[in-house]
Amino acid sequence: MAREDYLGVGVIRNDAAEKVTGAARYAGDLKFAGMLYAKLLRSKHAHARIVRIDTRKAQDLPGVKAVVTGKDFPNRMGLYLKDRTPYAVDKVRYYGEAVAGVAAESLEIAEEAARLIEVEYEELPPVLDLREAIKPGACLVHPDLDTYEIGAAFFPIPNTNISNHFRVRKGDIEKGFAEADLVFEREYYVPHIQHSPIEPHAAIALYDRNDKLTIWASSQSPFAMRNILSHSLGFPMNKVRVIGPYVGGGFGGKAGLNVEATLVPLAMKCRNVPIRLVCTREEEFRDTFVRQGMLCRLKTGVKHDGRFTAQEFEMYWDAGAYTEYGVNVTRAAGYSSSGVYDIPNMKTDSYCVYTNKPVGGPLRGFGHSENHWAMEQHIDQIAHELGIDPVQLRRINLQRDGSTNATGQVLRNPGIEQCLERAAELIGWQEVSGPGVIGPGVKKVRAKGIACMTKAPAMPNDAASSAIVKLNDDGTVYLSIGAQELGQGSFTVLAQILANELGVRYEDVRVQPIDTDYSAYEWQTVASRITYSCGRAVIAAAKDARHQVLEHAARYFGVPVEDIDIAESKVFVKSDPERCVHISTFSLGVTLPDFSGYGGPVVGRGTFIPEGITAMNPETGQSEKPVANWTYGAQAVEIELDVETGKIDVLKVAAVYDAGRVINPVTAATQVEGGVVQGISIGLLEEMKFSEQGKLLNPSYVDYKISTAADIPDELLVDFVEVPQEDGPYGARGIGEHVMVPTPPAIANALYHAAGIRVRTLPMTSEKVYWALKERVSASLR
Amino acid sequence: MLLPFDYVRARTKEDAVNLAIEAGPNGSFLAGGTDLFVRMYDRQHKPKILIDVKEIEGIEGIECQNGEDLSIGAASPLNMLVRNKFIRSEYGLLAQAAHSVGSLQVRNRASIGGNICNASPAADTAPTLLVYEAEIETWGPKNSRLISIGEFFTGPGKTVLEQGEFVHKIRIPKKDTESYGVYLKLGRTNSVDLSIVSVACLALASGEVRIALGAVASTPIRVRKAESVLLNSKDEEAIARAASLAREMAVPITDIRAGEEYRLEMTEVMTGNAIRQALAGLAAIGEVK
Repeated sequence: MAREDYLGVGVIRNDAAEKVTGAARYAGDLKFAGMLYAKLLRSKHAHARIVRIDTRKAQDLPGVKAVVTGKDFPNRMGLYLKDRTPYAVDKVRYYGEAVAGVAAESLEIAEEAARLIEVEYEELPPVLDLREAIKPGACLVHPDLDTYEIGAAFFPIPNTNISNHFRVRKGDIEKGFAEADLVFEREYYVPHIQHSPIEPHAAIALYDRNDKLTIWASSQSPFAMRNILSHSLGFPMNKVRVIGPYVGGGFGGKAGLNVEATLVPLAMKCRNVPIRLVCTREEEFRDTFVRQGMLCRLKTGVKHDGRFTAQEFEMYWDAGAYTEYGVNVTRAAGYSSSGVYDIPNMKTDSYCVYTNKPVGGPLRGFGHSENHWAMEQHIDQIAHELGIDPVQLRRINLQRDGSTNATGQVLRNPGIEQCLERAAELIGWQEVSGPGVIGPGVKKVRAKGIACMTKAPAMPNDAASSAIVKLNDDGTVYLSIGAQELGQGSFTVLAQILANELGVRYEDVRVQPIDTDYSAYEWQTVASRITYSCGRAVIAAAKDARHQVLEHAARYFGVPVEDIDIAESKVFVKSDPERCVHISTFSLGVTLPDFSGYGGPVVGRGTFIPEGITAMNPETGQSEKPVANWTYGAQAVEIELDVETGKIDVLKVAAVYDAGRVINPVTAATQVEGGVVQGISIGLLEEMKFSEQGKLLNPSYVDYKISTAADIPDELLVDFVEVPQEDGPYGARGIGEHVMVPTPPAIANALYHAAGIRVRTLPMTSEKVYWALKERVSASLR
Repeated sequence: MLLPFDYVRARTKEDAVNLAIEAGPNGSFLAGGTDLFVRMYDRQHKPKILIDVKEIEGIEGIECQNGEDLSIGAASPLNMLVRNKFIRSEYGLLAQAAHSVGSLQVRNRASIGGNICNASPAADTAPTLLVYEAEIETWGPKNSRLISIGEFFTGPGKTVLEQGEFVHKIRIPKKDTESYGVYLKLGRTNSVDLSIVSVACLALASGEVRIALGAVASTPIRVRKAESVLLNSKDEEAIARAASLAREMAVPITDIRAGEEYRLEMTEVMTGNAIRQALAGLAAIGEVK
């Protein structure tokens, strides 16, 4: 019977001391004797045919060890869709795409060599406008799309720029709209944004004399990286090893395989010499994954009493030059397209569209963050038009026990109602009906807004976790997992779970760095799935190890196994607690009174795979259980609008999530706080801006702004609801990504309550808000 | 990656000038380097010789005494100004403006001389120096000269400095009367940002109100026409008129940070607010005394 010594306890993070003192090592900190430095030559055109590449001058430069181009390694790779090569082959598809790579004795030489490579391009018309890209006869970014290998859950449309079309067909959409008293239709837009991790992408690759490729990488996905390298690039799995030191922030940008692939052909040419690549900040902005832009049209049918009868949702994703990961973003946005509401009749079309822009990929809460920007403003607007309080309209339509979501899945006890009520209570919600009006002479106005969210882990149905627990001679415990510590606190929470299950002191648990040759398998550290999925594997491994210790102890004490317990690293006889020894007594087996040995070293193993997730119907998106679980949450904000400048300051945020079971209240709360600040940043500031030729104009923090410490709200209230997740560890489910999803629409709704204006295109900059205010004032005068 | 360059440290003013003349267009003076190195990394600027001026006597440090001009060494880091008690109490506006530049780390390194020699239209200390009517003491081939701050800037990134000439000190005339200054900066974030529009306003007990603007013209500008409206009257109507004149004098551009029209609107709004706050601050000082 497990104790609960470490559940719900805010233990000190096990990575805190080494990170605070600077002892923690990241991929970019690693140095090897004789190491070479890589530099990539990148395209200066958004769309062009490569006519000729002349690398002779670069090759002749003293200190240069290898120069590679797309022709050296034309294999296509990708997580869900194999549409991408490490270097451009024949064609460049975005401004910044790697065209050639150099490995040299110093970074200076590598950069100089990259400059000496001559590339002749024949420019092609760039596909930059989403609306143009989907028109029949549009210039195709990937004319060979229909020949690419793709996962079964994705549906490209041949001879178009659409690499995935996800559909929901639920109920009878025509009947639903016919039943509606009123129909509301609006367009919304989100721009491309960047993850902004503190640590840029960094990797070191070594191809040794045994034909083994080893990559040290700042990666959320060492095992997925190994898998993609093996399957896409043709390496035997046992000849690929990925080592993952701490990651200095990922937010999805370090999932899958990314810039690391560019090192592979270089490493193969420089056998036995490690080659290092660290992205510049400019490359980090443009040449790693970005979050896609998204344009959508949302149409909702509603009765006078506020009940939704139908929803039609069309989403077009500006997914960039390659959509190997991006196709899953569009899928996630599709299956979650009811949000937290029970809508009987639905039609959703989510299109992943190739454009000549940077490569779209996963970013915290992908798909959900974008579709909630539309859905949660839309319902608010409908509430005002109907004269119903926005919280009340949500109550009317919320998913409850027995409701169905977009996929027709019947939901059991969704925690959204509790989250919504608690967030409203914390912010001090007062009923509102109708838009705010700015009185004459008013310079600052305060108002509140609220938004809900739900999200499921966007992952393959069979995404698996495992854990190995090893008891050392001294009684300390090594936990071997493939889940990564990105700053989110997974190592801490998993150590707590282990300590709790095994009965050892939390301080005695060491979580081992990831090495695919030695660590237990994990699919990827994404999708807010680690506490949930890896947590279950750790419980199983700990139980296994515990069972071994109990057996050893039973022999040792000469009592039945049931009479043994373990707590705080001490093993004792329950009926006679005086008989107690340190757990280290049993680490390597046990020596019995006759000096004979028994058992052996304690090694526990555990695995987990969420069960019963079935494929969605390709025509209708319907499934009884399309995803592992749903996490719900609600956020309320209070803003102050500077009427004279249009500037929004977020004063107070109340964030409430149904975590199922909070394992560490401190790391859970800090995760929420970080997410809220990122949400504010995305809501008010973040946007990648492109020139008419497709060049990114703001690849640095000078003009790509993110929230600073001075922009953080004075009051940030965090609370949790705990409706247990049936298959979660102690009932826990993920919250990591969810916490930034509803922030932008909550601010947008507060803005409407303040001033009766809506900015449907993110971000809500001072300038946009100012002009919207002006327009409202002049409209009211007309 | 940086291109190779030589680093030399000038020990005297004369040294610096000689080195700079010798280097010609290949030379560049170096103080904090926070703007210079960014441009060198981007290869917008490719100096072959960097002449570090920080060791020259008097170029770093603040000389301040009641009843005398305030003299600030050009290579003084901005945080030195922010933390200087005399500047905080007597020239508070300058401390505010210096504090609004970049981040704490940048301000530890970036110098006030660099901030003005860089001649960005959005330079945060410039509008403040304009309303304090600072004088720029330079040293160059023709020895020393004093340049009024109003004549110092000639365009984006351009000043009246000649080849081989560098800023040695910045002098701010002694305070003849009580004054209260306000620096308003509209950025996208509340810190670590460049101005979309900035306004410095200094209200003096003599009745004069001085106003200068940043980021709305090819150089930071003083808007005397707007000031003159306030000489005789300081009522709401006069303030509104002054704000509207400031807007008329602004000639902003549209760039990635903001549009021209928005900058014009904000010039008017922020000028009005700066005047109101400066006048209220001055009145409060009067009441205390």
